[in-house]
Amino acid sequence: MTAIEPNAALQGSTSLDLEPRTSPADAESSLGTQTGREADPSGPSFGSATVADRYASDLTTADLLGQTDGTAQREALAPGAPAAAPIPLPFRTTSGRYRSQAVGFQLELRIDVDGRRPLRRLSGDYFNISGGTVSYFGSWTVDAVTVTTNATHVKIVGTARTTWTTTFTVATVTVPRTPIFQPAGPATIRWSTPSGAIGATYVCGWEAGAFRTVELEQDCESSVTPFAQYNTGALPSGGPARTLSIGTAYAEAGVQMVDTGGANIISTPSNHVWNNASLHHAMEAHFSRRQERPQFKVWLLHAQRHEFTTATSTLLGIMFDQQGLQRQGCATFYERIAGNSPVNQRRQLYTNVHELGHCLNLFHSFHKNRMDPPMPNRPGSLSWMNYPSMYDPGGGAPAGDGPFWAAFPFQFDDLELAHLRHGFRNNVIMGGNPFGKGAASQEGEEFAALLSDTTGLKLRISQAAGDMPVLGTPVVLEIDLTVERPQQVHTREQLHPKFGFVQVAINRPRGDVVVHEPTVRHCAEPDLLACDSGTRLPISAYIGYDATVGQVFEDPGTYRIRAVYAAPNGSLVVSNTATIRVAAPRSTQDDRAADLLLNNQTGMAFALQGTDSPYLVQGTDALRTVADEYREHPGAVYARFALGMNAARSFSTVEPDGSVHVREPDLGRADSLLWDAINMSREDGGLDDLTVYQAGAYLAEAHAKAGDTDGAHGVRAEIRQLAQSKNAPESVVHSLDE
Amino acid sequence: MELAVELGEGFADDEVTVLVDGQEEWHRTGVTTNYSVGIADVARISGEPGALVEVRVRDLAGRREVGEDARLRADIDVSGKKLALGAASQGDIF
Ligand SMILES: [Zn+2]
Repeated sequence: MTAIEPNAALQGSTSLDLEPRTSPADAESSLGTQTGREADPSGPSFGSATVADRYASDLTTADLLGQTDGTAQREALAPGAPAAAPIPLPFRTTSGRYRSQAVGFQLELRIDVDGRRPLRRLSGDYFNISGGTVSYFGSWTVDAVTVTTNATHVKIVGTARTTWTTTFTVATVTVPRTPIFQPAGPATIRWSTPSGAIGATYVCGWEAGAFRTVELEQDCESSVTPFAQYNTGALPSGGPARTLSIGTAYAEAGVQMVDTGGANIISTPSNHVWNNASLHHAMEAHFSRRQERPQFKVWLLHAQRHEFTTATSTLLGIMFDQQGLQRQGCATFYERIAGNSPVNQRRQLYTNVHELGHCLNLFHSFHKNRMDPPMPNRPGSLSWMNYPSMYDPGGGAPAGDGPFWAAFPFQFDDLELAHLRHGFRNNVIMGGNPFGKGAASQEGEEFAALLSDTTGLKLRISQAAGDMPVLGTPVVLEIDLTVERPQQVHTREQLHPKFGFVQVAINRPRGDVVVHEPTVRHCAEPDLLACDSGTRLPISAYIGYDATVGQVFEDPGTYRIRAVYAAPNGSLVVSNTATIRVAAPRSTQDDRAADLLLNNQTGMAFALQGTDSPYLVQGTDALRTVADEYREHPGAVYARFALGMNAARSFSTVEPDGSVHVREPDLGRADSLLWDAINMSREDGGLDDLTVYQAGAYLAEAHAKAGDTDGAHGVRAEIRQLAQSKNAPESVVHSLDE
Repeated sequence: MELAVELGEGFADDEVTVLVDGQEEWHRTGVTTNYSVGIADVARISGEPGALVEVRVRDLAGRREVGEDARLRADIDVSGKKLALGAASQGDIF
């Protein structure tokens, strides 16, 4: 399969040698390869001859030879100068923004390994260049990298999450080290698969020290003196004293705010009160760079008063733009914080930086659980995005305004920083995703670790069966709650997402996030269970079909899944991020089976574990066809399971004349289908274990209901034995007791 | 006296009705929380101390007797299943 995607190399092309080059000749020889690849217009673009030429001298600087690690030497800058006592010069930082040439796919590469608050991450955005048209293609992020440095180069390696489908997920970046007074060298990124197949290579010239650049247009209501700068040493704080403006505060985060100047003064009557509609209108009238498309451009109005202000509460600022393409404008209100007192100047700085943070899709530290997908709140965060009055570091430590300001270092917290620098483009850019959507979807493992410490609960999720399901295979998630400290939790059954206590969010390769809405909702009173430490409560849940979006896993590619459990005591337990890679069909048979299984009716029929419903005939037929004619497809065993479950129970249909027709359970058919499914799953492959036990328990129940006590006993005993032989947790084995 | 009922967190394109002593005083559709301030809208109604204010949204309802405080606040919890109507907190919002 030759996918036209930016990380893949063209078939048959040789790989570009990424080892550090030491001579111009080497650099040129690799250019030959690159130019050759560009001959195919459908192929990815590689750093072109002109770009690489421009940097060839940087790549090969003989003057870098002989320097000690960590420093360059002065003679490097002046080859002819007398070799007096060499004064070591530091190297440039590697971190910053790089860009490949605008041919085919253009890559904006962000490297974050040194400099101020390095996060050890990489990220990038691809743009499709076609003639004069530049269109955004997709984003990728590497959440953790390995960095190795030698005398001449920095090498950074890590695995990327991408917004599109690719198997080339391993990024290897090399950047030459150059002394601080020399131009930065280019960063070369080479993609490969986890098994080592080589993909595309991009040579990216250095563009800026900032990871992103945002154009800031500021306008001002006539009665207001807008904030300029504040010395953070004017009042006690938790960081070094320095003078901060909006621009320098963001520069410290790695975001360049370019003030576009020419502030309009907006004349208003005295005592004018703004509301969100009038603010939006003012933005449309005065934001000269506004367009109806995502762009890193934002409008900030310095104004006097908003209608949400009341006698006992003042609205100091708002990101008012929550219609159409959102997050393009915000406003700060000075009625109560005007003037030059340090307290008010500090408040003005805080509010302005804070509101622009909302425009960049950051939620309050205490509202992170309201994002899509939700995250745990961080009331103890010393961040621009907290409320000082809401600050609560926990553990009985002092909370509120005083302790906040005493400890606040005037910065974003690390997770917000990761979002600002490396979030997928549409999650960050103004006019991209709606406010709150994808506002932190990239944050994963660190939170699971953080949470389990405080709640005494750990939520693990994983794909229930198989490594890489081929397209169409029903995706079943295993949700496993471990109680680490004795407490009450919901019963195992109620951990199924259909009860609503566990919520599952799926980040799809097409870039969207589906907060899973099961087709069947069970509204039940919480059924709580007192658990000892060490109790494991695993449950499997089919998540392939969703009430809102229909089929969830309808593209090949990488899906990232997280779950959040709302524990009875109100805390949120966030799971690890599970990755499911859906493989493309490998044969015509696979293709046809995928077509049948990805039909919405089939998904619905599967979610119901089979049905006689006349409205889902097409779906039921598809299950039968897959079960009978596509036995080799991994979906076939699930189809047998669904059909078997349905056969094991009765089904009532209301006839047009109002009479009710009851189809009785067909135990013979249920036995045949379910035992088939169970037996196909004893070794590797087939159904996941929890679904097997579920099928067995259901079948036993059906036999018992039909009066076949012996049959029921036999089924139960066999399934229980199977569960024990597979070391199923006690809660599962126990559920199979008579 | 004039009462300000802040419709706070958890509103998403909702139809909201505010009643005083069973009488509809305020009604709006498309009510959505703006999380930059944690407020969806402010319903300004009149009601004297002792009157019963009720906020209805979806199949949820919150009731509260008017006291001395001229500000009330309604929040829907994260599960979307509970509406709390109480006194609004004081202080800055931004
Ligand atoms: Zn805010």
